[in-house]
Amino acid sequence: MTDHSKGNPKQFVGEQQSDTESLEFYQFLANGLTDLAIYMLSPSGIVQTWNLGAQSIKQYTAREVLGKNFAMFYTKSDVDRNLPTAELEQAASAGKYEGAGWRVRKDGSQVWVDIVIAPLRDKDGQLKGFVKVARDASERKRAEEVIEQQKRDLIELSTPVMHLWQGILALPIVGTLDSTRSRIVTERLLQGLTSSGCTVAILDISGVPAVDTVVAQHLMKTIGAARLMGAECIISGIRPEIAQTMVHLGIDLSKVKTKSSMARALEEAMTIVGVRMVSDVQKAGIRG
Amino acid sequence: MTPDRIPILKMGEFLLVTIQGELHDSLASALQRELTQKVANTGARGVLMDISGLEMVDSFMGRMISTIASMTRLLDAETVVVGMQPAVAITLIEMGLTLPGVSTAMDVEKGMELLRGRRLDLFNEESNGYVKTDGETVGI
Repeated sequence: MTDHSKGNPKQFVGEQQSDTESLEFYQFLANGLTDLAIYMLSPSGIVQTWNLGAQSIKQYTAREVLGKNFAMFYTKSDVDRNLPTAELEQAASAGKYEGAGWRVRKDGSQVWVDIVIAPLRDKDGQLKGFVKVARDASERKRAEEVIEQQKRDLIELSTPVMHLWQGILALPIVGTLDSTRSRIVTERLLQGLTSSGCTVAILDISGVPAVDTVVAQHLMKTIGAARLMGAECIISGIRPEIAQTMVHLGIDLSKVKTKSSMARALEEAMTIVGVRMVSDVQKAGIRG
Repeated sequence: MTPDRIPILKMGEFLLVTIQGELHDSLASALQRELTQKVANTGARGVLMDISGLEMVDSFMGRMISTIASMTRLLDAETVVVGMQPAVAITLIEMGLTLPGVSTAMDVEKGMELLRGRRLDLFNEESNGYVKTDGETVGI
């Protein structure tokens, strides 16, 4: 199964062991590990050996790959940007290359693999080839992609934009306001303003656990951008603890309208857009 | 297509300027000259600068907008920038250009409401009777 026509086995493994022991050990290792691809390459990347693991991951039999360049397993775009050669060069110069990427199976389907490429040198330090170990990591990659998508969904869901009244938007912000979240809040706010034509936005921060100078800066940027577009923002939901923290930190919100509750903020917003709220229609003498 | 001069339209007592493409040096200077000239000649009370067609704004543009606002204010006309796109607003804020002293509005209509509202405030404070020559009565 293995082809050592290119050189003496002693050149591929440690010198302390005997030829036969080394070869047996290697064969045991390579054949026993059926979910790890372990194979050897010439200095230029020609496949010299193959194992059951490689066969199960890549779907090729030994006969189909021996003597061919290992670039055949890479995707077209990777080959176009010379990735196979680059990986070998890095392995040779750094002593090891660790990475991950998409590889193409015999049937054309793609598999995500974790790989390690190590150079093999003789006792004079001459490069004799490489050994490559690869493991199928598709499951992990799929799981990672699901988590990334869920992260995005979570961010979308936790930043709803509500059209409360004619001309008034409300954005309840729930959760920590880091720079990523802040950028998303700003984008959704500005987009909401453009599509609704609203001129007032209420940013409710009662769901934001902590407000420090960084969070305050993010809020100021968001409000500043809305102002440049011609809309005014009101911050609501400032809890007593937040009020104390902000003053202690010296955060200056004097130029921003702030309210303790969404109700108060809505009242203010309505005044801005020119709506007067009347609680008792009869008393106010308004005829229906 | 960048025009060699930016047209200035008269809309009642306001002037409307629509900026579409990139504003290079000579075009900007020409605009400043013509705008201030026209404000003085027509006695316009406000300038609406429509930038809804601009997808990108650099610091030069930001400064130019502030400059025009300052010039028109000296001539008793307020400049309102209207229709700024979200991406432009974010870029300006990131660059630290908050355009202080420049009024903004979502669109031309709201810009005109803003300008009229300001003037209303002014007259209410002075509580002067005032009738314009086109028949529109303002204040008491």
